[in-house]
Amino acid sequence: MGYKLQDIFEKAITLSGEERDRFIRQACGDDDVLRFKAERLLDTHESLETYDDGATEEAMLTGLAKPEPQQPVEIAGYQITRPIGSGGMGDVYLATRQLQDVTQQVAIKVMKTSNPRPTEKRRFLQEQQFLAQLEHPNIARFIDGGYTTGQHPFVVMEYVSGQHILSPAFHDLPVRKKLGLFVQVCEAIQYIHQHLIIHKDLKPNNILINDAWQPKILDFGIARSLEEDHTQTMTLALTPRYASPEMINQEPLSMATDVYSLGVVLYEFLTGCHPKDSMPNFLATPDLPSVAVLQTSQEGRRSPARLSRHFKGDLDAIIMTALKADPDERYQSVEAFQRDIENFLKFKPISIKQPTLLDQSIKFYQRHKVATILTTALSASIITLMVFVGLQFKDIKQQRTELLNRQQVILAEKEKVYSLSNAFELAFANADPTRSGNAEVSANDILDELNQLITNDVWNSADSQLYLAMGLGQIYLNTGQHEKTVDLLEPFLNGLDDLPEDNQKALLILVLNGDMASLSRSDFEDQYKQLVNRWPEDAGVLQVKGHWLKNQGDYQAAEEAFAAAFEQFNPEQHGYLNNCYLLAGIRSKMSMFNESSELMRHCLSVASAPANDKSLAWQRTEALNLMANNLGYLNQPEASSALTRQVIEERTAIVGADHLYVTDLYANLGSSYSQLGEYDEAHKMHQRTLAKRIELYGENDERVFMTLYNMANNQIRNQQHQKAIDLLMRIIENIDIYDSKYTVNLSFIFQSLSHAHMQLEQYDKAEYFTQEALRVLLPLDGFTGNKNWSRLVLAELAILQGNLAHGEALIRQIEQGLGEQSDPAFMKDVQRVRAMHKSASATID
Amino acid sequence: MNDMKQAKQEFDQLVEATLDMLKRIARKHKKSHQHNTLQTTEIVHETYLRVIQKQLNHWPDQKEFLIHMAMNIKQFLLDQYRRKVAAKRNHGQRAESFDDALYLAVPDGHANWEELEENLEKLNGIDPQAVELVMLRYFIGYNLDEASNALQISTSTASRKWAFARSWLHAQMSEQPL
Repeated sequence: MGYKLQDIFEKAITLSGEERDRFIRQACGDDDVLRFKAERLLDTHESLETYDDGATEEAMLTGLAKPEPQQPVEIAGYQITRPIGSGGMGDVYLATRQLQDVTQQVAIKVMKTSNPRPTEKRRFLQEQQFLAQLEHPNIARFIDGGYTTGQHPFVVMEYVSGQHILSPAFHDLPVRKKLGLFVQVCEAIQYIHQHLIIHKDLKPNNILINDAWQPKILDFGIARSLEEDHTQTMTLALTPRYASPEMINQEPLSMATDVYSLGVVLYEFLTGCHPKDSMPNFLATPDLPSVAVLQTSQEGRRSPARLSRHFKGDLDAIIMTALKADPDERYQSVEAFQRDIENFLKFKPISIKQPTLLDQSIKFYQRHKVATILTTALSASIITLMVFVGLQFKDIKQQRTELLNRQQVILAEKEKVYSLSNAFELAFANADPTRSGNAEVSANDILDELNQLITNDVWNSADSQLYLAMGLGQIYLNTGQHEKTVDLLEPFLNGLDDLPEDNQKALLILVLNGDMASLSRSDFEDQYKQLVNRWPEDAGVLQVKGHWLKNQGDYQAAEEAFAAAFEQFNPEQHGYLNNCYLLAGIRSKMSMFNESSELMRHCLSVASAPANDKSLAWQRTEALNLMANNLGYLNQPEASSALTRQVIEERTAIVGADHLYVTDLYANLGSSYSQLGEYDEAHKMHQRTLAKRIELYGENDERVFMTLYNMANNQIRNQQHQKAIDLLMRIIENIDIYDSKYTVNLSFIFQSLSHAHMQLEQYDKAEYFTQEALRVLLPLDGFTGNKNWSRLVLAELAILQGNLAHGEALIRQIEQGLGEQSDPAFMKDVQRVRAMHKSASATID
Repeated sequence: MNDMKQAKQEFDQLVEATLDMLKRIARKHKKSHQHNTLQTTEIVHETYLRVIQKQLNHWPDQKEFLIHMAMNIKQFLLDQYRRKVAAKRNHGQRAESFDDALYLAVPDGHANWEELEENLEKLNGIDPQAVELVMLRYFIGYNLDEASNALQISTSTASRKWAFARSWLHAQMSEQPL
């Protein structure tokens, strides 16, 4: 008989209404006892189904032992219709209340706890009043609250007819539609947060979607006012499947707590998988949504593979950020979370900078113009690596050739190239502006990414890691970022003794080069001595000395050091041209332009230049460029620009026309044109340099400021003062005027601005900028000439504006401050202004 | 034969170790949250599922392990229930005992555990698979999908059997048994 009852039951629950009744009557026949039992079982089933609103996680200890039907609940003013649900905290009833002629349906939640202390009771009632003020289209309204006659607290809420967000009804919605609904959920939670309440129990069952496709947030059952106890942790029931780690750990809660729960819901809503299923513990990181969804099966048009592709990237990143175990790493507000979802919906960059994979970087190359530009920067960096690293390590390579057989060398080289290109690609992907949400990615960003990779990644080969680190260190040196060189390379000093001797030397030299700017003379000399003791008369060591002396402004001694280094090379050797370049460079610095160029020309003519050696070809362009600059200094703009054009041509052949090291040369051409009085042509040249620099460095960069400044001076020479002002103001808008490295330059910019305004007879503005220039200069030692010149300009401006007394006072002040041996040119200027004052006074008299 | 004996021994050790671990976790939580029975339960549950899952992976016959584990837990809870009833008789004082934490986790009131034990046995006579299902859902805390997977039956079968078992047990344990 037992079997029969079960069969009848199992069949009957698949039927409904009359069909079911008919089936039962037929199956039981005359057996009234059986029919009675079947009907009772079915009744029990119905009532259990009503309770079982999908809360499977509560199955263990509450799923079966559901309360027997409670004693009827009575709440004054409300007519209880039927129970509609039950949770850990209490039972929910559908009820109606009569408001004049209108019958309103409401949901009443009656808590299980009872016998409250008077303080708790008062607080509960206050809270209900507070909650009743909240009104938002996406939250279920609080209507009332109080205590039943049995002293159970109850709350009355708007009754929402709908299904919870994870109901099968919504499974097959398109992702964008789902996200649209979810954005509304976020809005509701934001609204709650604005009222300083954390929901604390966000889960699918509390997020309904009503018949009008409107999400409604239910149940602030355990929400408490943030204001009152934001340090307190929650003390009531929660749903661990949706609870944040800080909740489970009973740590202080914040709005990020709700972000986490929303993240879990969104994860499940989109993928159909629960994130905690792939988390070995509650602090772990779940599978990416794009990975999780692959484990689901195909349902209708919803192909897991297609969804996975859709989630990959931004959606993965958004959800994973919401699910960070550390609340500080999460979105700090639901608003930020929502904004990124909306950014995704609008195809805009999201706010998270995420580490991405190689394949994404490839996609990125294809998709974006910025990428192409930066690809050139990338090849620039590789070339630079080739050039500089090549120089440093050529000798090591040669020795290795003797030690290893050819095959091994090739393998080692392959390994280097492989790790290099991999590292760059990764660095690139990470700096992808579409992921970083920041359109301006500079070459430096990429270098810094590379730095991260070198420092943090696990490397198969310590050799490659060191090789890359030294290469990057050299790039940092070349771009003046000395601290970064030191930070990057210092860790490798720990393992110094294990390195081959040549690597030891190269590493020490690089670090010392990096330290140079910050070391005192005695410290530098100490360290330098150690190098000299180990490798006396070594060319690399001598170079360090030369660089140091050059930085100290002791060009004479620097020249001697570079000359001593140069002597060790013969034209057959790889370092010959580079050392020659250093020596010629310092001679140029010493204004020995002809000597510099002669040396360079000689070296170029005797150096052996194997075909296809890009690094040598590159060095040749540097040599020619030095010579072109020398010609510029020698006031031979035509010869200079001709040579510069040759450099451009040769470099273009190596790195392409769009490369920074090519476009920067246009600035030199511009200076030549400016010298020749061809200002418009000069302007065009500068513009080419400017465009590239902005692309790579952003507007806010000293190299960009420098170009703008040169362009402005070109315009001043061209008598286009307004254009000059516009260019200079562009600098002022972007420069950090509080950065001390700009102080002196800033005074020059102000002086140029003042000059241009003066030419336009805008004396008040001219006066303002000169005052600014003076204000910047005054705290500095020295710069007496500049300070005096500014004061003189102020005097001139005072006179021009008719303020003769003030002008007179200023002139007197300048004259008093001047010594016997003042600059005659300046004295002449003072006399000129004095004469101006005189004639102005005469006119007035 | 020896192998089987050894396997059985290992298995019992595993079950015992798991239970010990659960008790330790429960006690730890109990200490930090004196007044928080409900939450303790939930957290114990959460942790417990993970412990079970972890052990499960080391065991070749997962179904055997789960059912055995469920029976142990059921026995444990039943013991707790008996102690609780006894303690209540002792002027309502709670004995501060070794297993205090899980003692608290035993649901209050509604279920009579002795009766449940009895009825599970009766149900076993009707549909042993339904009992296994109840064991996994009730004492392991699996949801329907997980349970049907473990028992290697289809979800629809599991769902029907679960509906029946649940309704049948409820009806049996009401004031008027079937």
